Amino acid sequence: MVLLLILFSIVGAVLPQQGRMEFKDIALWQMAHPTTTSMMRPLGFFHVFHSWPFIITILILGVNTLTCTLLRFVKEGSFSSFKGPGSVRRMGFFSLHLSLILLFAGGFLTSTSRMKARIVLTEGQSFEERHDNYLQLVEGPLRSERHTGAKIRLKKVQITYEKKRYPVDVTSDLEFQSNKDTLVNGVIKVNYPFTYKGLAFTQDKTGFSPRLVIRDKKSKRVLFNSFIALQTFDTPTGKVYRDFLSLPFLKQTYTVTVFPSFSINNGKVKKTGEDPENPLLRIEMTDPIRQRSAQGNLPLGGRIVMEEYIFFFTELRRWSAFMVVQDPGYLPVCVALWLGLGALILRYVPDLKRWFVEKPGKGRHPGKRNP
Amino acid sequence: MTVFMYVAAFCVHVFGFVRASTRTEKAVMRLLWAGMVLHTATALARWSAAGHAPVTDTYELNLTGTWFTVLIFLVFERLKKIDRSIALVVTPVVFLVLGHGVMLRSAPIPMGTAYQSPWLVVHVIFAWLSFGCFAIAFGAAVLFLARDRFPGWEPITRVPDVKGLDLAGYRFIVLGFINHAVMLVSGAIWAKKLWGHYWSWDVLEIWSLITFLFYAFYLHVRSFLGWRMRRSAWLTVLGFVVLAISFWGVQWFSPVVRPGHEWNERSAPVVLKKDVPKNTIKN
Repeated sequence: MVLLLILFSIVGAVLPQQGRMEFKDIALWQMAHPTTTSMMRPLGFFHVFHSWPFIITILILGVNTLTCTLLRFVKEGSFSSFKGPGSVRRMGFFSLHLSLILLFAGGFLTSTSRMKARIVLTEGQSFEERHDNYLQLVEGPLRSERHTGAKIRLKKVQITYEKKRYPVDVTSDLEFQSNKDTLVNGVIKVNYPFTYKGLAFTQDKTGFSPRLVIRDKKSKRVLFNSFIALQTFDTPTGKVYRDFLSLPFLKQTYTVTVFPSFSINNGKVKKTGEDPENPLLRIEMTDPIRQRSAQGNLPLGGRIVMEEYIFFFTELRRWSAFMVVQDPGYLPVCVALWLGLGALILRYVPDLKRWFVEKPGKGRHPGKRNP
Repeated sequence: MTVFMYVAAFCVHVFGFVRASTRTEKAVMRLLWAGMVLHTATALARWSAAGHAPVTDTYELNLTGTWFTVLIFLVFERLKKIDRSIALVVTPVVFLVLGHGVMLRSAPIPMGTAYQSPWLVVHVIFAWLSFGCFAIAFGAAVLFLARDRFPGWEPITRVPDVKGLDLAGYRFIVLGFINHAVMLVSGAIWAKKLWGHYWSWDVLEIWSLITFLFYAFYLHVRSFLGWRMRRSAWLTVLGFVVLAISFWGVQWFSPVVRPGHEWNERSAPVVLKKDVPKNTIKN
């Protein structure tokens, strides 16, 4: 069973897996490897850790561990086996296998009852904790719908940079409020999540949200007035904050890039830092039908006319993304891990103790040389 | 310089081993201690230059990992719990890993936000302690196999007997297994705090699990099926191959999957369409 588990794990490490890769990338790989795909797909090996052979193996291993542990427990005289010589070792053995069973139970709870989702908030924006408001929501099949309906507001995102480039501290200040409850302030940092009513919020990526106002050039009517969370790309030269303007009324393709701080050398814009001290918004337009393109740079408060629109760059805020997780399986898993660790030490301490009390040059220890 | 010191120790050791000279073994130990001093100085210099413990990129990880391996070997040798001849296998492992790291050396960068966790220290230290123990077990297994295969070769008869080597291998695997378990547990807790889930089946996690399961298999078959001596030695060698893959070979064996062990690699935010005032949008 352990060998089978190793085999499945190797499959999961070597083959592209759903949930970890884009569907199109998996499809490309499958097209390049038709023979392997024809053999592996029926067994569900492109989602191996959720496939029936893997689940059956885990189930058999769990039942096997439970049965063997119980049989041995009875065979060795149940609780009386914890007395007399070798009792520490036996206690370690039983605790270790008990922790394994608990680990399987916790893993089962996690995979069937966990909720995992993302939220992206711009500073000042609120979010109501409801099923439909989440992004990339994944829920286990046995999870019952339990949402708090709490209002979550992102107050401020603070990022400290070293050498003006590397983020060394990311902090988000949030406000939580349910209908009848008082306001709760939560500070979330990378590695330091915040838990509110069983929901664990962990810090995810951050970026910039410029406020863009778009008016019609002729009528001066406001077509758009909102913040747009730009994607953050990590490139060898630093972070790039850029996105398409996916607004349905735009007739051309517009790309927006934010330079949080900039300088101009020989007419060329250069990013000088990650802090929004002196921001610049670049708008690039491409019109593939008429084969035209244009580019404009807007400092904060500036405006530019492109085609039939007038663009205003009025404000720059940060956005912050959070992973929201509710996992009833974590507690049993955590207990199982610590119990298992303790049990492992109990199980092998007698062996190691013997090694350390042995005198050099006696017995079978490898310090002894052959004559 | 540290790499050359270990290479020199290895060359002297091979020379002394073939010539069956006991005097050279003392010289080898001195060279290894000298290498250790240089190694420590290099690690401290990197620590000082980077402003954090050397545990972030491949060079730093290899530097720290080999430091732990040499330290474990020298401490156990000093306590007379292992034979010096195991250095014949451990030293090349050390200078190859260290040399690989040196080839990939890059300028030190500040420690990213994801790495600023006390669990990282526990995770990395125990990962490399387990590597060190498994490397020494591998050394014992290789000597065992050499002794088993060439029983009449004069130099090999000077290493400990096969029972001693088998026991040494087992004991270091037990030590390494416990350290590996601590590494996995601390990694799971760190992942929970960093990403919100304790296990995400990313490639590095899977290879660590494979290594753990493999050594669990070793301990089981040794205890319950009595696989000792030659079978045990072969399993130890195979286990070290799996371990090496989990440390350095992930990209070779899993070319289509990104490890995703980075906090920054996650997420792809979307335009906040909910903010768009719908009444103002017209085609």
